[in-house]
Amino acid sequence: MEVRAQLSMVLNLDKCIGCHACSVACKNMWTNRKGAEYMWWNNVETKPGTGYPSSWEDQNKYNGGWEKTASGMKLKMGGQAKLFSRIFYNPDQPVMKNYYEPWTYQFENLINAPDGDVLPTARAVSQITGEFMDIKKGPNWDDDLSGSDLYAVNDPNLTQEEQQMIRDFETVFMFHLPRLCNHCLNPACAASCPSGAIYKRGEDGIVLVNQEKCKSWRYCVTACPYKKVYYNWNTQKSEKCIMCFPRIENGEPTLCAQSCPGKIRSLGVLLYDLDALTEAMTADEKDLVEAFRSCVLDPKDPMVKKAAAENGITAEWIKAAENSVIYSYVKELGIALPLHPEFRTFPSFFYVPPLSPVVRSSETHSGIPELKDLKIPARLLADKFTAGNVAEIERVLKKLLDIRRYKRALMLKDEHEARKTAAESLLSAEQMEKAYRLFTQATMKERMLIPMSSRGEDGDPYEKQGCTGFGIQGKKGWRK
Amino acid sequence: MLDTLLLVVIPYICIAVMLTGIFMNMFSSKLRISAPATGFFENKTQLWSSVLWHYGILTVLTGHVLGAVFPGFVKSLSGSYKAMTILETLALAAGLSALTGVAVFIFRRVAEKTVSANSRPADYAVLLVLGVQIVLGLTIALKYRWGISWYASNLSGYLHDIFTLNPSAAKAAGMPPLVMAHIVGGFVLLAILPFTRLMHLLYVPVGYLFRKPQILLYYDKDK
Repeated sequence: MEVRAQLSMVLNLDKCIGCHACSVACKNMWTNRKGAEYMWWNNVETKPGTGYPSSWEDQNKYNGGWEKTASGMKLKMGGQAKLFSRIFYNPDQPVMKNYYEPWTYQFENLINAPDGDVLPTARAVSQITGEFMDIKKGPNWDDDLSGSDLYAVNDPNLTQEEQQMIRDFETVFMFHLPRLCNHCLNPACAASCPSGAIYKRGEDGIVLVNQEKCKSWRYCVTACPYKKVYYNWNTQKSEKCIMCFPRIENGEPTLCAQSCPGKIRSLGVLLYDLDALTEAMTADEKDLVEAFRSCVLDPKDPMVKKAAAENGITAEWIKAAENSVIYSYVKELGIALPLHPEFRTFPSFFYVPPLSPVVRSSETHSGIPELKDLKIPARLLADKFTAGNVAEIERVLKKLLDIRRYKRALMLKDEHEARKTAAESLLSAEQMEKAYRLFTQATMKERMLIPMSSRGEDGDPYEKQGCTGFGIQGKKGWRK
Repeated sequence: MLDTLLLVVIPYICIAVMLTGIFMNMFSSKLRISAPATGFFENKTQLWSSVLWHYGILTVLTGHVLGAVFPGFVKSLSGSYKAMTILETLALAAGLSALTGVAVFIFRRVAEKTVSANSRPADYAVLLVLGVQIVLGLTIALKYRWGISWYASNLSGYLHDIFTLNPSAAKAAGMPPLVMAHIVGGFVLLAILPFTRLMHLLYVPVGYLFRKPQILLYYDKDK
């Protein structure tokens, strides 16, 4: 057993209202620089939809992530030899039009325009070429447009019938999916980097790009199946979510987590077994979620604690892991799932899948609905969170419904119904109480347990705002 | 006198500039060093620019290096009509491929607005010097049939003298202006290397073939 610690996040999609507070907080702090305008280290997508960059989930198009082979695993974009041969031109690489062309407006025109009969206008100007442009696409162009023919039906996860269902207005459904770098346990970006610039921090598992080592080969952009490494066209280096490490190191939550009005995010330390992970990597697709769970270690187990201490994990971190809610979500309750586990990068961020309104035909139903009445098809969620394993996602959704059924029965003082639910459920009564508490009442301190790191004070993060990249010594490039 | 200027003074100035530039880059401005990619804006034409250019120029450069390092071997080949035909054809094809590449490069940089808006004068300059150098090389190959054997017998000696700090213009003196221009052009390329995108030449990621897929770093190095 080789224990590693990982700072991990759980996002409860049931509570996400798609307000973009996380994206805006992140944008203002980290990517408001030239060359980074188009980057959204954190973005919120409406699903079904094509997302940002367009169709990022379609690995037949982008060739991101890992692939299981007869002898183990290799990057879907190719082995080392193939990557090397493509160093002059990589057709899988996303280009600007897959994201969008960043723009600003001629705001000064509103003030400086001479007196006249018509109102002054502020035309859109490209931030790349400086010329006037017609805006055709933006970072959230399909926000809340899940009924649309243009966006929703082009979601790569939908079958023909489901596309038809979406065209049919009465069955329109949607949910919001906040996405950021998953700080994977087996990062494809790091494996693909020719310069070896991308590394995982041993203490907390944060994945970072060394800006000095980066030589802009941009393989990471292709290799990351979540498209969460971005190429800064101005500094000509790759950048990605840094998990707000200047804050994390000082025991503060990330900005996206702190700014969330829905309180959907929890942060904490997760302990996992590297040896088990090595085995889990090549599990069959339908077993991936279960294999992943088997790598997660119980931080209260004395054996695990001992092994962790032997591996150099500090007492403070082990204690934080013990009290962290991540373990409860992922393994104890088993309701948080990785996004697209079939990419085999083993994300360290997990999602509680969303419930949804009931379909019209069952609207006479009273109380908590059955699984089959939910508008979002289980298969769609299975494609996103369990590598297509419908039985697994149904188990999780059923648990989520059980929690509500149980609490409803208690509120209505229906002891019999409560006992019956608890007996039939995969969760015990105590576990359902715990989940209920986590969902509704857990305070910021409970949800986000971040131990101080050995790095201690790393300076005031506000001083670094607007700087080129992070943790950089030496001078900026020629480009401004 | 002119020969000494072109074949001794200018080369050494160029090499000095290159070494100073590389030294400065490595120690003072690490961030400056990148393969400044524009493929983010547009990558459709890269098949015809980047790929043709790089494979073409790599072949040509390999030829130049082999000729300079193993002159005896190349000279022994020049006795065989067949070997020379193959060698000349290969070199010419690679040269034409590089020429096409550089032409598409220049066209793209000018015509593609997103690219030209983010280009420095140095980006154009380097393409121009490379273009001129390729055209000179191709013209020499087509015009002077003694090119390869002369390169092996005389120029390799001259280059050897330059790099062993025992310079003498004698071995390459009296050549036609085209050849002189090609030699000087080569040294000019060395001089501008650290100040342009050519700097990426020093960072061919060979280590990639030998490293593990995950790099794990600890803050406390004792671990």
